[in-house]
Amino acid sequence: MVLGTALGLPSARAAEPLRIVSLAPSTTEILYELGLGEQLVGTCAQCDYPPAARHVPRVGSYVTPSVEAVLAVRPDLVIAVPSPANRDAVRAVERLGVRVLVVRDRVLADLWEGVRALASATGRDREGAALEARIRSALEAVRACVAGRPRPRVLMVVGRRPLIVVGGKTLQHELLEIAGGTNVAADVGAAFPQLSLEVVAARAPDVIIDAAMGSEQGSRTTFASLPNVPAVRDGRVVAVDGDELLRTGPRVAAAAHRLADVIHPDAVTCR
Amino acid sequence: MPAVHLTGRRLARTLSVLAALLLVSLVGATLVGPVPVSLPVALAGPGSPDYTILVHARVPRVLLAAIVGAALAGAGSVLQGLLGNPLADPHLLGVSAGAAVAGAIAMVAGADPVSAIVPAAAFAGALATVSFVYLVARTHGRASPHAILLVGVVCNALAAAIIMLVNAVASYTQAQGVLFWIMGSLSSESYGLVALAAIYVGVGAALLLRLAHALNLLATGEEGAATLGVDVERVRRAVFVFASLLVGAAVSMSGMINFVGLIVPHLLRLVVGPDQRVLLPASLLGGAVFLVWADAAARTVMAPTELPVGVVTALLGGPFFLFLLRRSLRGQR
Amino acid sequence: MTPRLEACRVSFAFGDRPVVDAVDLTLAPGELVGVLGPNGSGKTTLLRLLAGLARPSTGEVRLDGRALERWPRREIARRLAVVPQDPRVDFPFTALEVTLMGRAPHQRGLALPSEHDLATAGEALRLVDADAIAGRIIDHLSGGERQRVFVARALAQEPEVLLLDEPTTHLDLRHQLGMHEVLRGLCRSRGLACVSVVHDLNLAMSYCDRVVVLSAGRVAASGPPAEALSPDRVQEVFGVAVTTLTHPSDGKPVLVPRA
Repeated sequence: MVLGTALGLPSARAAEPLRIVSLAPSTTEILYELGLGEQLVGTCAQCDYPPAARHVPRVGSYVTPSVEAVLAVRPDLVIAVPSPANRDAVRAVERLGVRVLVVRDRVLADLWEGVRALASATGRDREGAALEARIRSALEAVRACVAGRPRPRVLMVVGRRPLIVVGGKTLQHELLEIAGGTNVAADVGAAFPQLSLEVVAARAPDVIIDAAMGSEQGSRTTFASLPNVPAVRDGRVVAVDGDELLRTGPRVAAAAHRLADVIHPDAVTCR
Repeated sequence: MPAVHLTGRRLARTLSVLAALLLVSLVGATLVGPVPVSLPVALAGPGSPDYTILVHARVPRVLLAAIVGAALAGAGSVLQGLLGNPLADPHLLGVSAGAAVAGAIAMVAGADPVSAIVPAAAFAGALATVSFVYLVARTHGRASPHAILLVGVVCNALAAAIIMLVNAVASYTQAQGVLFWIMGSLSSESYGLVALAAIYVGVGAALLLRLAHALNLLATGEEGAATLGVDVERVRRAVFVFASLLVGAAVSMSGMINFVGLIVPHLLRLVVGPDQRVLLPASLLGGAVFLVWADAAARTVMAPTELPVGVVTALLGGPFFLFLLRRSLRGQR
Repeated sequence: MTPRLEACRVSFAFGDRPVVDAVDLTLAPGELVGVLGPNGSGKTTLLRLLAGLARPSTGEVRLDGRALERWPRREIARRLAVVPQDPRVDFPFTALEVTLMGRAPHQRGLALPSEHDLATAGEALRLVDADAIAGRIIDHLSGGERQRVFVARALAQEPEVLLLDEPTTHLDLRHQLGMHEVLRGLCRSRGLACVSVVHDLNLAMSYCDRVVVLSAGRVAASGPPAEALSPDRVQEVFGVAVTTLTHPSDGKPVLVPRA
């Protein structure tokens, strides 16, 4: 049985439901949306949404999963997202004959691919297609409600000291653009580049979205020295909770909506 | 008898040259950055972005770089003297590691990285480590440089392990935050902090300068120094503590910046000689110049992206250190 | 007259092994006293006790009548100088800079050298025939040259008492004799009191006013060299059979190993 799954044979609706382990918060959320919550036998320590996920046994952290803990729950399928340190653990699990599906999470296209791959691997193609359609239409709704409006210059910050911002080629960048903003750091190339304060001053964003870890006070302090930047001057530095925004999962539309609220607070059609 | 020894005139001349170099660097580096800034526009009045950038982003940063560079190089100079090793680095003492651990723990425990809590915790960590290293290394009322070095190395290893542990249990974003904090950043917005740092480093430097001649005497051995009237244990302890406090403050404010404390005093020794009465103040000034320019490069070379300044000093210093090491192994001075 | 330096039944032990055992030694101004003995007899340890670099387990060392422990370190350094056996220097100081270090006990603050400091150091270097190498880096000097510079450093301290640990081991014959001439000259002219650990019995014969012979940490003989270094005593302490001859020029005894 172990050999069979290692050969990656496509599984139709199996007689017994697949036992699934999810090693990333985003894929956990997708699995629940596909109706597979009951089949989840192991999740990462950071998998906290939906609330039901918190009751699933933990098999290690998103960054470093525990090979033993994963094997102990006898999974048929392990879902992993590439993280800085989990490659060896995931490889080890794979070598021991467990089927592993790797899903990427960098950009929006990764999300569609991930949903499709998960759906296909678990025989939930119909639910997968429906989920994808739902998310796409929700994103379209956001795009529509800010259509035609002038696009403010936006900077999204994910780290304050040093200042780390969202560059081009990221999910967050795409969400920003969908939400009707122009990412001032889009041209920088790297996904999450470090910028000096003077570059922020020079690019003069109208809105700063602060998704960095830390307090309100910290947010104020960080930007206090740039009083002439429009976002600071007009009081448009807004703190946003990172979890929705930084997960390539089913809640991206909600995240885009939140961004649209911040970037276009007066867009009535977005209510 | 034409012989070389330190005179008041030589001291004054060397320090004037370096001070002038520092002044030029402070002004020059302020005009360098990823965003072109026009000095006349900035001086015209507070409204322009040029003014904002210069006054709020660049000047405090350049000043902080100078202060941290001075602290690291000054500590490096006296530590090389104390340990009798021209290739010693102040981070070997373990104090930097202690500061890094304390700062990392504070961040993961929830302190806002931008608040004053993290540097304060880091500094407390530095103080604790200084005491720890000294007490562990001390036997029969004496702490030999050899013992201090060994305990310091162990502290570094321990701290690295603790930081990895902290990162493993922390959330991914927290771990990233810790990593970036440790890698070092000189961006500072507050003139208040800069002023405080300047006073602190100034006091530390003055205290060390009073021990400069005793350090010279220690170069001929601890018994040699004792017979010349030096209270060896007291001097060693004082040098170790003051130097560690300088390094601890530097790391608390701006993370781990490597090689400044190693390269600058070593290079200057080749030019001004081993006498700490001139080498120490020269290192303070030289370290300031070095870090000011290294930071200017860090923010400009890959504009608009910024490199962590520790990366620049490592890229500059690493190969250079290897070159120096080869030279010393081959028997040249 | 109070002796300059006095050791009163001093002992020193490493653990329970006695290295110096109940040694008495007095040193009057103007005296050059030699300390001799086979390897491991405690000579260097005795010197370190006299210098205050080690604390005796029993007994006391007195400088100008007062116990060493009661003297502030700096005050000792203004009166007592030590030339160690194999001095090392960590950094490339010049010979002059090393000699100037000897002025430290008399200086304050930054200790930039005064006219007097430079003159004293220069004079000291001249006395040990090292003025030509004053500007050279100390590491680049030969063992013998380095040894002379360290004697110069001790002399630059303007001490009343000078303790030397085998100050001539690396020196060539000319400089060995020269060094001891200088020391004796200083003892006579300035009342300098010297204790010098030596290996060469004949050097001790020629230059020392008194000798103290150590054997296994104890004083085996003490007094003018002609008496203390009798052939019987030498046989007993050093295990070498010698004959005494008389030097044709000055009539002083010379020890020669028997074939």
